[in-house]
Amino acid sequence: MTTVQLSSITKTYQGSDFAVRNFDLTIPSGKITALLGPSGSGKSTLLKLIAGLLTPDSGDITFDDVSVISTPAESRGAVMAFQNNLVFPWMSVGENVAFGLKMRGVPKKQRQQQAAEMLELVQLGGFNNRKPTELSGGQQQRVSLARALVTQPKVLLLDEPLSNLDAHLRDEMRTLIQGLQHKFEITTIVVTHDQEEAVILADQIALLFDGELHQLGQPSTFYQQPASRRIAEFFGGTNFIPGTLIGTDFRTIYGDFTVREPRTGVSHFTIRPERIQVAQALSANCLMATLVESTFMGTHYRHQWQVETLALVSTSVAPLTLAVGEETLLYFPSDALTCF
Amino acid sequence: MSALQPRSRFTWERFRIPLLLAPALSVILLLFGGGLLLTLSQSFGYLPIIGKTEFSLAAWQAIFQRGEFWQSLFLTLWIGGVATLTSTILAILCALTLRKQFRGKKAITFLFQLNIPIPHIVGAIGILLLFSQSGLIARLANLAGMINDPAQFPALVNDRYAFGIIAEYVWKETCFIGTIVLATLQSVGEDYENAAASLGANRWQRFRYVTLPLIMPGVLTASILVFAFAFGAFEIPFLLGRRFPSALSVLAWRSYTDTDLALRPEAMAMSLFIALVSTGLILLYMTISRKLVRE
Repeated sequence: MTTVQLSSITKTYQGSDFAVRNFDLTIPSGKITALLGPSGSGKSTLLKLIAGLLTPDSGDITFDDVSVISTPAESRGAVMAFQNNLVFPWMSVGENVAFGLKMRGVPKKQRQQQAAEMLELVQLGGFNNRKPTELSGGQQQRVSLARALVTQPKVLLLDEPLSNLDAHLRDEMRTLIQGLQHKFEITTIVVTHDQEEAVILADQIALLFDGELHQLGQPSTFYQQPASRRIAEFFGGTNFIPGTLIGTDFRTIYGDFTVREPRTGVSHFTIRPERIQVAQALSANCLMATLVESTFMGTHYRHQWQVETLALVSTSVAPLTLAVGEETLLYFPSDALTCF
Repeated sequence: MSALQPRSRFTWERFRIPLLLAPALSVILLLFGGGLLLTLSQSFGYLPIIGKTEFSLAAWQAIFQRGEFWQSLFLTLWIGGVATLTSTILAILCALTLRKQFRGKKAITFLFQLNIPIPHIVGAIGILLLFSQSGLIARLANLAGMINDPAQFPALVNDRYAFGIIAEYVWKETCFIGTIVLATLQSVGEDYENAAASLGANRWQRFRYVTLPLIMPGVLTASILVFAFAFGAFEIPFLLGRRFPSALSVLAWRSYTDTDLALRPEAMAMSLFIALVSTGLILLYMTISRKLVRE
């Protein structure tokens, strides 16, 4: 169980802007933290900095309050499982898993046994003598995970662990990662560009844009209380309504809305598509909207509405009893409105 | 029910590639195949020009019984082995250095690869001018007062240990093998090594267990080619080697140009022996590379 602390980390690549700038983050021990962000946001750089594969220009990285900045990657105890697996193709599966133990001088018999046990845990029992080329992408990913875990790292670093897998394997791999992480209680850092991957895997998400931390919190926070429009958009938000907040009264040109908490300096509110409801009767926080289009998405329906010049999107599990072009009242619950 | 039957229909398409290759192939077959046939028949004693029209194994038996042949073979193996090993080691070190980011990398990489198009003969003359007892280094050493007379300079050309020949091969082949290794290293990147470092491998372990297996296919194939070349090459040992013992190719040439025409079958047998060893090495190279490609 190791707490990782990043303090004022800055890293610049030759001939380019900052990859990471003045970055502060505490990664709690024994939990899964996701570093989430679009491509080029600096998340992979952070992972390599923690692994010791890159050196920061300034700042400090500590494991349990002990600086590891001058500790080389091989002695740091932060093991990384790469996005493209990087299973050594010239070694057998068993040799791959035992690699880290061999580097530490663990006797052959012992490391073979430990590797076999770890392969059992990742549901690849009996695969010891296979060549990596005989395995599927998902199986190789599990070999990569077993190879990292067998060394009992202080910190486990996973680079896009689910992104190369199809839907069925994603679920399997997620359950496996979470199961093993809980079993070994390893501080785990996952890097991903996919908000869904971060949400289903992590206990905590750190959202990065342009090498800076924009929001840190539990996955649900990013849906319920996004700190900015950019964050809301990153998490699939589409409804942004401009206006002015006075007290808890949000005034817009379409009507007035009551929000939960008064805040200053806000110009928009947002509401998740799944929280907009068709109102049963006229009440506060209602707007008259025209149905533009209704599409079946497989698991739910997606509806597009027009309120004067404003376009809105809502979703529902059941189809609407409304025809395209018809008008209805939409209800925006106060607790679903986030202002920024 | 009708089953699909393969059609056996004559089409020119099937002969297109052999026909296109025919002009080039006929030249090769005539010159190379003809020469080979002539060498083969002469090695078995068929030399009508001096009245020998019967085939025999006499020349082959003679070369294997000749002490000079074995000394030449040993020297040739020594030259090929030491030159290949030294250039391979130097090539790996150079490639590992050149893959790093440093100021002037482009210029240094260009210089490293510069001698690939330079002919061996130019290298041989360079070695003569530099390392012979009347060469530049001997004169500089004399000027610096390190030796009293250029003749005191150690014999590095036409010498007992074939230093001059080996030096020329190392000069030329280091960049050949190095270029292949560098290309492999650049295409693979450092990801595997990073993965190994993260798993606890130190610098040496990363080289031993990750880098080396990665570059091995390239190193192996390039070094077999270099060895095969060094084993059969003539001009460098001719220019930079001693008269006795000489490299196998030089011995074959001397027997061929001997005024005694009766030695010619032996020259042919020796040439064929060199060709056989080189062919064996090429086959080994092909087997290894095919195996590696399959894996």
